[in-house]
Amino acid sequence: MKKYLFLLFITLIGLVVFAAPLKVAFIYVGPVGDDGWTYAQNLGRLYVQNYFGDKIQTTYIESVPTANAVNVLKQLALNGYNVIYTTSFSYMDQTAEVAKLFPNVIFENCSGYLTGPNMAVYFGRIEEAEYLTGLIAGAMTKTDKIGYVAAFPTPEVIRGINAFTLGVQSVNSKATVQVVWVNDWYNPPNEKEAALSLISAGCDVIKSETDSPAPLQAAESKGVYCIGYNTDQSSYAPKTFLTASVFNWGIYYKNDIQAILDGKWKTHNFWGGLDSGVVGLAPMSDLVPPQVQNLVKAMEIAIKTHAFNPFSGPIYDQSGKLMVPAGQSLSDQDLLSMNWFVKGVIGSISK
Amino acid sequence: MKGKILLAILLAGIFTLSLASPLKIAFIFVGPINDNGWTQAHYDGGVLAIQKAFGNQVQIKYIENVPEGSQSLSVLRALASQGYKLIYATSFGYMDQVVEAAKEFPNTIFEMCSGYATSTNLGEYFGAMEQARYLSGLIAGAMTKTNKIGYVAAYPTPEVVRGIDAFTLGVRSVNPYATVHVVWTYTWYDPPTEKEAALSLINAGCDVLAQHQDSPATIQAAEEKGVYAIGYDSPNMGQFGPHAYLTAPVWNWAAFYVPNVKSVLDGTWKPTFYYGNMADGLVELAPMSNLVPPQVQKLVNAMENEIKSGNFDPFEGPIYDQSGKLMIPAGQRATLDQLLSIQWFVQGVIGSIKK
Repeated sequence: MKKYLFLLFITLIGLVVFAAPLKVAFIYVGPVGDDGWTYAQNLGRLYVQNYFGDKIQTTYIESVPTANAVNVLKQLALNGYNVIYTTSFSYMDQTAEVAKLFPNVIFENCSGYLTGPNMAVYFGRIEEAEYLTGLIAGAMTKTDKIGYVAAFPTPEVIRGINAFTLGVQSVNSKATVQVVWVNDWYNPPNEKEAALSLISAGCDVIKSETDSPAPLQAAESKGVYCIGYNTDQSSYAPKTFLTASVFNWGIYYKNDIQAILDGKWKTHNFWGGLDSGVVGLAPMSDLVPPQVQNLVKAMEIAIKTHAFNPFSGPIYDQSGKLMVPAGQSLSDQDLLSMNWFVKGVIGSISK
Repeated sequence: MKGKILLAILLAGIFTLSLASPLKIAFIFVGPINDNGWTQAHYDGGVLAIQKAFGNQVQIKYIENVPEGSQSLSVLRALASQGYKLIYATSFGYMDQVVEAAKEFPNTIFEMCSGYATSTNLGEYFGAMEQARYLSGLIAGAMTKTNKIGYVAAYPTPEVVRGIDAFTLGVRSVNPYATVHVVWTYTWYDPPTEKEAALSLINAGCDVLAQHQDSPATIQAAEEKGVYAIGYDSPNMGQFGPHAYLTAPVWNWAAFYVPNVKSVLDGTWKPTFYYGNMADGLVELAPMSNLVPPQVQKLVNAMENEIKSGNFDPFEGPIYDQSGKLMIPAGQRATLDQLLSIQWFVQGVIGSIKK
């Protein structure tokens, strides 16, 4: 009889668990309308909400300043959120702090490196897509000067610039990549200014790595080619848009939430490349000639199948010093701490 | 017991007999074996490689500078009459005569390079040089500064046309602004004429030259004028332009000849139409020189892998002809039949095919 009571009890718990949807929260560094980084993150949220239906309930808080992050995270945990995604490197320390206070809540930080029993990190190897966009930029430039609108000199951004430049130099041995730092992730006026200064300096392809489409709008206004970042931003530059390196966060969130629902979640450090689908290339526009498109697609397969690694040697730095010998490639450790530019980049990293 | 021993003796006798009479193999060559080009590639991959692989099981003869056309028939007849049982004719211009000789000597095996006729004792062999041409085009497109690339072309045959097309598709994969300027020499091996053609392209502003002749004259012209050059046939061409030579699409004929001879020795030979490629090792890109920057080399190596694995085909659509007409739609690849009869230039080629 006691046995039956026990079974009944278990069943009741089961019903409660099934009845209550998993509560999932996202905190964003910018507005969901930035049409860049945060917009792409929010697309991921919408994707999983749609995919899991009433099995999950999601919410988000946008434009959270780093200084407020601890309070926001505590409040979300107190409100019963089971999973909290903090979608910027700038929240990593705060996430780790709050994770210790709420051991039964799962915290995940995007692009950080601190993990704990209930805290994981995740990111995408966007540099694999940046290599491909570099192939296109190198093929399309006529002036052999390509402009790069960059956010902050972090390893993440430097990796992207380097992979892009390696792509450029794979198809165009004369082209250089000029970098302008915006020192902001999301600052449309400054991003636009940076793009215009590069165009004035003779750049005829603009690559954006900041979070708004402002650099693309600047390129469109001046009639030079542009390559976006985060999401397919083609609508901002219909006459000059070539492609964009994009994040498909929904693919990651779906797998992660499925693991949580299945009770199989473990802490982790996810870093997915083109093969995972978390990073990719937006469809190339008709401005990219067919043979270039064919080449890029072939190289995409080569990277996906690990037949090719953009960071395989020989790779030289700006001063001509051999940084990666032939036959070797950079380790994840090297990539995560990268603080030097490859040959072909015009610009400097303030230390 | 007696029977067994007798049989053993008999078998040993046959074995000795076959050892005693090596397979007699003959080659007819259109040029000299030291042309550093086409004929040398057949000599190295044929005569030398077969000799090395089979030693005294074979006896090889070769005849150089055999003119194409009717004169070659008497050479073929003489070889067959002298007991050569396997005869390789290594130029397209011998095809009609090889067909005739094969009829006259049904017990002799003939193999014809780059033709299309086969019969019970006549096989054909050739290869997808267009794969390596495409890769060399990637290099030319990445290296040109003037966006004008010259192509010193032999005759407007499908073989040469598809080479120019594949090369240009490679060029345009990395450099959509570059054009490939074609000059016909109507020669396979005539160094002065070929050099003249190369110089005319350099004068017209081309700063990278490719070629489809069997001599290094184009490379020598490029070296003199300080522009880049891509060879053909054999990596030996590199020595003629240390400051000009980038690479060369080359033949490794041993990949065909050695298994082919083995099949004759084994009694398994059948007439086939062999069309080798980079995956077989018949077609190669010679090692790139240090003039080719490392990132370009890595891209080319990666694309070579994709070609070998079949993931990528240079003749994958959409491909347009010079007039802008869609010739191969997106998602399709040119068929071998289309390639073997191709008589149109892709977009980006400056030049015309005489009809």
